Order: sequence, then C-alpha cells, then structure tokens
Amino acid sequence: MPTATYIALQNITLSSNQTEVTFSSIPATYRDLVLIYNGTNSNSAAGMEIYLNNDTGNRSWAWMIADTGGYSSGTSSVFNFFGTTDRTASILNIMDYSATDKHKTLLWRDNVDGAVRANAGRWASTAAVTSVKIARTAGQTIQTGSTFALYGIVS
Amino acid sequence: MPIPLGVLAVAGAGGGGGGAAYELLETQVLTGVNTVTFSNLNSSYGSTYQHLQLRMVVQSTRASSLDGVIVTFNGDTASNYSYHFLQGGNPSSVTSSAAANASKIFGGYIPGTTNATSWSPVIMDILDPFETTKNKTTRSLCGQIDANWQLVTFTSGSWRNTAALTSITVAPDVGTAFSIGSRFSIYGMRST
Repeated sequence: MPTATYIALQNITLSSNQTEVTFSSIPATYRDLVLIYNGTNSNSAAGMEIYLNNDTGNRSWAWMIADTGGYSSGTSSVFNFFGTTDRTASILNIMDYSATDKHKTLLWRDNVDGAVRANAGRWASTAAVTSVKIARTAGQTIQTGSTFALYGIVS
Repeated sequence: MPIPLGVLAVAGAGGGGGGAAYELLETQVLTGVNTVTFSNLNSSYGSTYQHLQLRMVVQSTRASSLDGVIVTFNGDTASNYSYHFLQGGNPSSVTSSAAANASKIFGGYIPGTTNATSWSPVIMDILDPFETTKNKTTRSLCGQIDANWQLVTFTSGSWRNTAALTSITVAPDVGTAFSIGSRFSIYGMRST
C-alpha cells in the first residue's frame, strides 16, 4: 500500500541576514532527510558549511563541477554548499539519517549562474542526525529572503 | 537561529492524505546477503505513477574496496542497455565512460567489504517506466567516500525496450550480493 512520503518538516525564510541556520530536534521518524536551499550570500566566492549534530570533524566529501572555467573535481574534509551573490539552488539528501548502524552518507547538487556541481559526502558517525546547521565559512552572511526547506522521507 | 522541529515533525508524520505526489511503494532492508528485485510493478503501480525513484544505501559483499551497482529491467540481461557516467573526486579529475550495448545500467561506484563502515548512497530516477511508447531512461547520483575512494558519480542509462516495467533487479556489478543492512526503497511520483 503506497504511503504519503515526502513530509514537510520546517521551512525557513530569512527575514534578515544571518550567519547560520539550524534545524534542531529532528525526530528519528523518517528514513532520509532532504534539505532544499534557495538563496544568496554576501560574498561572491564563499561556501557555506554543513554541520550534522554540530560536529566540526568526521566529514569527508567529493565533488565535481562544471562551470565557466571548464570542469574539475576534488575532495575536502568539510561539507560545503555553494554560497555566492548569485542565487543558488541546492538539494541535499541525508540518507538513513536516523540509522545507528551506519556512517551517514550525503548526496547533493548545487546549481548557480555559471556552474553546476555534484557532491557526495560521508559523516563518520553512527549517531542519528538530530540537527543540521548551515553556516557561513568566512565573514559573509546568508542574505534576507534565502529559503531553507527540510523534508523527511518516510520508509 | 535554532528552530526546534518536534511539534511540526510529529504533525507531519501522520501525513498520508490526498494530494501527495511522492509516495513510498516498497522498502527492502537486507537481513541476509542478497540481490534485490522489485516485482509486479506495472500491475501494482502502472495506473497510478508516472515516474519511479530508487533510493539506496548499499555495500557489496565483494572482498574489495570497490564495486558498482547495476540495475536490469524485466529480467532482461541481454545487450539492450546503454549507459554513460561522469565521475569526479579523487583523483582530482573528471572522467567519463560509456557503454552502448551493455547487459545492465551502471548506477555508480559502491564499496566492497574492505572498509566495513563504508556505504554508498544512490538515488536513481526511472522516467516514464510504464509508458509503452518509449524506451526507458534513468539518471542517478551516487557517492563512495572512504579511505580508499572519494568518488561522486553521475550517470544516465537507457533500456531499449518500450515494454512497461514489471520488475527492477538491483545487484552489485562485480560481486554477487549486497551486505546485510543494505537498504532499497522505491518511490512513485503520481501521474494523477
């Protein structure tokens, strides 16, 4: 029997510039989480870091990008959304976020004027994800009107 | 600006009312090593759903750091498939590959058992699976991040057959089975 699945948990629209946005007390009710970001940043070249359970470590990430300079790929020890002065659309999937027998895996895509990026990440923890924070990486701010929508996917 | 989610989440968890467009059809979590087949798809879902999405978190039982995930449709293992993929990460270059007459659709790289805590997320969309005037097409995004590999893979695939989809089989590319705990969920996007 099919089950309604894509459950809206929280939608945040910034009414002022912010340095971070946090979804907290996420219940372990769902299988996956999806976070959709649509917004702008005060800095043209700064990313925005993604923190699970506010952990600043245990993160690894691979990406590939096609942009006006061609294409490239790389790895990093942080998770990062595009954060530019151009509007960015990002869709982040956190898989099996409430499972306590697996390290958490992430897939996300960023689209911005002039670039598209595909990303995969791993948070090396078996703890259930109870919070997701998006924060600036330098002195920039996330701009008024930016939206963050969190969904839980039932399974 | 931390915002507690508890109340909204509980209210949302009961959702199941009319108007939902994206619905869970089936989930399999392996309690023994195996491959996975979703059967009777057209008869069960063909009149209701336009597109399907497979969401997986998988590990192969292959005694290696690397394997792949593949799908076949309707039990067809002949050379009726094509696929293409881009991969990037480490090594720090983007590479691509394609197969024109393959016996499967490649969905991306996944770990074997060398790194026991390594699992791959895979999301595959299957477009118009129940329409009988189109060959079937897929796209997927997959990642493998561990001590040996840091890869993100973006793929497209086709099955050169207009038959409505009756089954989807998911298997490792080289290994023979997925590890216990591997999870496979199939979702439908409604046509009405």
